Amino acid sequence: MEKEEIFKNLAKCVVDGDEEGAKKWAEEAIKSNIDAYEAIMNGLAEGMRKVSELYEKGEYYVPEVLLSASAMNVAVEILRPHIKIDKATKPITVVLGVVEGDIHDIGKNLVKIMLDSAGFKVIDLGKDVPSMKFIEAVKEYSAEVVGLSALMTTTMPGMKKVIDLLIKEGQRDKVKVIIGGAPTSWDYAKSIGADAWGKDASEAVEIVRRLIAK
Amino acid sequence: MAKKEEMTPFDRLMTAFELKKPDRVPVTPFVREWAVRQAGFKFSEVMTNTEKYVYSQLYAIRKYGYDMVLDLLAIHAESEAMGSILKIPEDAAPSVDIPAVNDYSKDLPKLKIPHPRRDGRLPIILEGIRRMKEVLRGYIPVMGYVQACWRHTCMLRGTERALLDIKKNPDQLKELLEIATESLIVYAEAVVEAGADLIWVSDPTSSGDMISRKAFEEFVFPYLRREIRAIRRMGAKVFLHICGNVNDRLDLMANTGADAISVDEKVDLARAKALVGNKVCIMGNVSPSVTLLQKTPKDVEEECKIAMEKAMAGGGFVLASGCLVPAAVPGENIAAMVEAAKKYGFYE
Repeated sequence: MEKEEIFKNLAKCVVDGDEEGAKKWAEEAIKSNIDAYEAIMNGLAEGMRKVSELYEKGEYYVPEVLLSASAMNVAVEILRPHIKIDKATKPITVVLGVVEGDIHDIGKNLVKIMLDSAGFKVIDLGKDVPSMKFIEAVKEYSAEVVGLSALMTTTMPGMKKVIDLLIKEGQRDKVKVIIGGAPTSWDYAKSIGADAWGKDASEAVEIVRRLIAK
Repeated sequence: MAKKEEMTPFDRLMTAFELKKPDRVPVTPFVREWAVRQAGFKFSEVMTNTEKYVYSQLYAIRKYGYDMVLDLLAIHAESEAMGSILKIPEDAAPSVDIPAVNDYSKDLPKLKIPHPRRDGRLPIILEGIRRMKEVLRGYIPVMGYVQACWRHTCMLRGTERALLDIKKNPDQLKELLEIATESLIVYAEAVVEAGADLIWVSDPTSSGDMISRKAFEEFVFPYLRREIRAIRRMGAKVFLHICGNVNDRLDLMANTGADAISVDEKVDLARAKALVGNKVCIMGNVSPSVTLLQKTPKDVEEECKIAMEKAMAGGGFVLASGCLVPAAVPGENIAAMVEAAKKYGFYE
């Protein structure tokens, strides 16, 4: 089977949220001796990029994105053991979490899906994360980027707390900070000293790439 | 230039809900944790103490003079009474930690319709409504809160799983929606009986930021319509609040049978008024997280003025916050909102 053909089918299965198809084409990729990393990046990630586009255009909503992600995950599970590990290049590491007191994690999960699929290493701290946990994770994983999420006006101040702690702990210069979540804005991001603000999950990959390139 | 108020807050709000012109635009900032903090309590204290919660509402409305008191709303009490386990922070609203329905085949048959006077925190809330009504006696309207059926379903199942169920388990999801709707109608009856003059039905997870119009039509609308129509038949007015981008479903919101729809700053009030203003009262949409929280009283006044210019003509409009007011909002900003209604909101 042609490589490009398999990539195209993997991408399509992600866009359609077709788990069975994703499983079938991932197995086909292995059988045809296609590089697993390439299959993820050129097939699955390409599909997720399309999903992100459809989400931004308002054609896809959260249920559709979640379904696409679960199709992608089925294929990733099959392909992952076959990835040839290249020790020379360390992937960009992003620490991600919902700030303390806030349990709304769908937005954060969507961002994780997008970043995962684009090949970043995502350290997901989950929801309701104590501020200090972010700093510990940045140190432990030598992360380049921190992503903070909040969905409530009442928990938003937790973002500033994390940034202040990064400064206090001497880590602020080592990482870029991105914030996002319904009540946040670019103005708010600037006011608390963040580097970037994402309107929604569809912007995540582009913003991280832009920040890292700086 | 200050005009004289000729109506009680109760008559003012009800008149607007009937799409008519009151003496002036009613003003209803949605204050829960804000009032709690104003009164000097922490949120976790009022979760179990009717006295303190009622005091916070009465204290704040006496001091600021807006047009409606609120029960202890949006704490997922209905879902808690059906088995979802809450996490309660010291000074913030609780959230669902462990949803009741994990495995459909195992957990659905176990779900019971709660007894409003016995189960979970429901009796505490009902007692709060009863006490507020006793004090206010129809002078200031008492708002009782009942979750929307889709919201309740999300709080029983976990929002992310419920969203995925739309695609993966639609039949079981509908079964859960069915139970959720039935249970809310039973609870609503108790809320109305306790003295609520109007019911806030709120559904933050059904906006266009979450699900498509098509999904709304299939998984939200039929159940929501049933719930709202049932509550109206009990004699209470109903306002439906969905925050977020609902521009593509304002018509559906109006068709649920609600007396009023409440929207946030993602909706243009003039457009809402033009589209459905002949059918429902419009409530909105002062930004709680930007304007009320971060700006000055002057900015609040300006935003309120614009809102009224857009939607007060002909009556059927309530100046409200776009969603719940954060605890940290300065008192002078709520005062500015009330003042704006008195300054620009009088009808000829």
